[in-house]
Amino acid sequence: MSTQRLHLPPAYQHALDEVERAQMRAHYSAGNTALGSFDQLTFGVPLGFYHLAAGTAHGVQVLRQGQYEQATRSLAPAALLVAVYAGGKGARVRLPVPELRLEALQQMAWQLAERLGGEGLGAVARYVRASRESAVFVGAGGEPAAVALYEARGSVPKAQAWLSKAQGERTGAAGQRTAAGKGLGGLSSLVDEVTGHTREVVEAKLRQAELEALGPRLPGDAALIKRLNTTLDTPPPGVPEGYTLWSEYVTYRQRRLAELEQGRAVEGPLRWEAYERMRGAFARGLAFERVMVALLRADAVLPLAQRQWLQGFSQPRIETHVGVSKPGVPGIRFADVLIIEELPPAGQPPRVETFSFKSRNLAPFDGDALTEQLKMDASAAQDYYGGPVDILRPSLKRRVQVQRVRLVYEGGALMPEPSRLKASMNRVKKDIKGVEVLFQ
Amino acid sequence: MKLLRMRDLNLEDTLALSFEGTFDPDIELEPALEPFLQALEEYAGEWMPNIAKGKRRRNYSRAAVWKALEERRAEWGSVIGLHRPTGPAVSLTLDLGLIHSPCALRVDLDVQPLTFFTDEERCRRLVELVRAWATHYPVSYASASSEADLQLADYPTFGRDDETFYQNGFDKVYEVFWLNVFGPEVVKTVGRERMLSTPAHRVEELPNGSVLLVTWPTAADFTREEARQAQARALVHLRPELDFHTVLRTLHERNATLAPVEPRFHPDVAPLLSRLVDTVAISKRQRRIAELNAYQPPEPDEWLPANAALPSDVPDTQAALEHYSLLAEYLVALLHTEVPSVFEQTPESLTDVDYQFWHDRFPEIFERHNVDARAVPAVGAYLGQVLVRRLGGQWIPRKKLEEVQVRVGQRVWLPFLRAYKYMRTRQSLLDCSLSQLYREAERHRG
Repeated sequence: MSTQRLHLPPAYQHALDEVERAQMRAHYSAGNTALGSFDQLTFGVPLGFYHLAAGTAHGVQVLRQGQYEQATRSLAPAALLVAVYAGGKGARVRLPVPELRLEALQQMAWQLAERLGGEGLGAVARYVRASRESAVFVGAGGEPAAVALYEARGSVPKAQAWLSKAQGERTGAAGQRTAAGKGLGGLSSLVDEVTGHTREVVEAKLRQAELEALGPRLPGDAALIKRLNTTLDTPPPGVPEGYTLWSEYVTYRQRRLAELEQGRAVEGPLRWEAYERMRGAFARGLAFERVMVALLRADAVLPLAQRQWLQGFSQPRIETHVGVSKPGVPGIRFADVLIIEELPPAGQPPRVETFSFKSRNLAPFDGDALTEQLKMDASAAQDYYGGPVDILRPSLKRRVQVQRVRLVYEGGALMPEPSRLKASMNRVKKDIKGVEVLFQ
Repeated sequence: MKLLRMRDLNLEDTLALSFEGTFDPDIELEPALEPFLQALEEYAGEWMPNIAKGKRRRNYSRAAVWKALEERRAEWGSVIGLHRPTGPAVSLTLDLGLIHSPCALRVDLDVQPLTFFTDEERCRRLVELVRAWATHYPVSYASASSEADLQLADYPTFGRDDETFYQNGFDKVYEVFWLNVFGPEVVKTVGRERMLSTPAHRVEELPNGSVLLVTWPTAADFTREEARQAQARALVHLRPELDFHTVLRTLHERNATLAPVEPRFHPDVAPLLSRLVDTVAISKRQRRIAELNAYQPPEPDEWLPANAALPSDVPDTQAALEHYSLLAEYLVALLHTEVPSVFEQTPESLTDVDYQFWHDRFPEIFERHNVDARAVPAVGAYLGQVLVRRLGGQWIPRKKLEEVQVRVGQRVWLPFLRAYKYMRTRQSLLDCSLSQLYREAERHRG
């Protein structure tokens, strides 16, 4: 391992050092070694990477032969990471990894690079490294999933929604997994019906390997946790900027470390993956979005006169997470909800409105911060989803004029009740034309 | 240092001033705002803000204000805050709309506590401040009053739906508060003569045609009978279609709503209920206290006498205990950002957890299957851990979580069962609070 290390970027070298040191710790059981080294080796790369890792066995061999320089150039950053990961992990976990094709890996990287540009590729790598869900998503979905993830700016739910929608529209009923069939990195590259490695078997094996390798907790060993913490101090490469969940996790780990050191706790902290999974299930913004979409759908089926939200439409079609771009504005955004008229008057373009949902706890804001936030949100909503926009979803693809943008905040306890809140909203409406701010 | 936040406005009544003025877009911003700051510095006196806040906070100075405006400059204008953390706490939001012609200058000022304005001289200076602002920045509407009174008057919509309010704004006299500035358009709807003859503490025509009207010398004692009568007299004068006695009765009703109520909460859940009170707007605070005084949560029944305890049916007790500990840790993961005390596993942590779930409307917001599969086990395990750690309880593991018990004295408690009942609705978080079960278990520790 040591000669290979010299060819690796410094951060990776450091990680490998850590792994080796961890391995030398006498009281470490074999199982724990895998656990302990995991974070270091992968910088928190989630285990969903088995999907990708499996696709790189051959690449790993090339890498093992010391051709890191070449590999770094020819493989995507993500792929390199996978390769390193697989190189470190494959042997220990003894997951049967069939021989796979480096060229397929290169092909995916190349396709992605061509499609997203070098920067885009880097972004995908960051997203994938940032969360297990992303890795699983890209691992299973291959190139189309990577593109969707990029377009959703790292949000797996949005990418999923977009992808499954796009695929549903293209192929009728196929789910995202069909995408894994082509190209690389997909689960399907592991599937070999002849040897009995059916998809079910492979999936089950992967899941099992994941469970074994990845206890939900780190050992309750203060010295070890402390050592691992040194890498938590600086966010791992790959955690997207402003990823608050990560900084919350760091706080959590430090807190638990302090307690271990003071002998007030005996159990180790949760691993990032377990932590993230728990928090993911209770992500407030997504919940609010779901509630709002249900409300809109219910509104749509009411007679026109009884509708609260969709009076402007005779037959509204409600679409969620619709990818849009604005002429002259780089980048793709995903409108939380886009409503389009299905029965526009003859010769007229269909009416289009967009909704943006915010679940922000505004009660701890002071006055100017609150006003500023409302304006920033409204301005962003107008910039991204108002005026002329290009709908990118294949089934709806066209340029439209968005007539109305509504920014809906979750109300209740998240919303302070000073008398003048509505006056502020009125001012927002005056300063940022075309956007309405509402509370639900 | 903590600044006055939105939620702090729920705790105690505030003097709330709102000002909508304009200025000439052809004048540079700094000279245009000079009179604004000049007047503030001259009249604010003891409540003068000492912090100017843009992206960063700085000690108040003209230069700091310009810097803040620059930092927050956006396409539409700039919003900055002038603050005073305590004694009295002040938040002044200066919201400049620079895409309009004329430019918009809006001010929202909160001074807490309202009782600071019991003093007549302080009130007079505040009136002078508004007068100076309104003289330099033509006003469409401005008012200053108890925040609670504003809320009860349904300011600023005054019973209209939002759409109508957005369209019409302050186009006529809807209400009269302690201090009012009516712009020329509103004056026109009433008639200048009539407006200037309003019976009030102070009525004054300003150079640009607006009218300043103050009903009573002091802002803080607005519920006083004479102050209410003055308020009613001014309003019916400006709106002759209204009946004085009806208006006065409405004001008396507002007084009744604001009359202080002594909290007498069920002792087991009193800390939790006190926190619920702090989430409602100041105008609803006393009614909420009365409501919660009457609230009696049912006695916890998730227990068996110790001699009826179900014996453990798991082969590996240690593994089971580790599992409960892991589940409890999930609750820590879930809540520690909002509720740092969750690390401590104390009875106070339980109250904080109760409050947070209630605040977040947790059982109603998230998908039921997630709540049942992930949150319920985490909550049950956490409750059990606290009973074990703080009351010397002992886990009695069972294969089925809902049968798992914690023995405390002569009772065995079923924490997962409690968690299940707890996580049904927002109301059940109170009816089956963790806090209350803990207190009950504590009493029966033996």
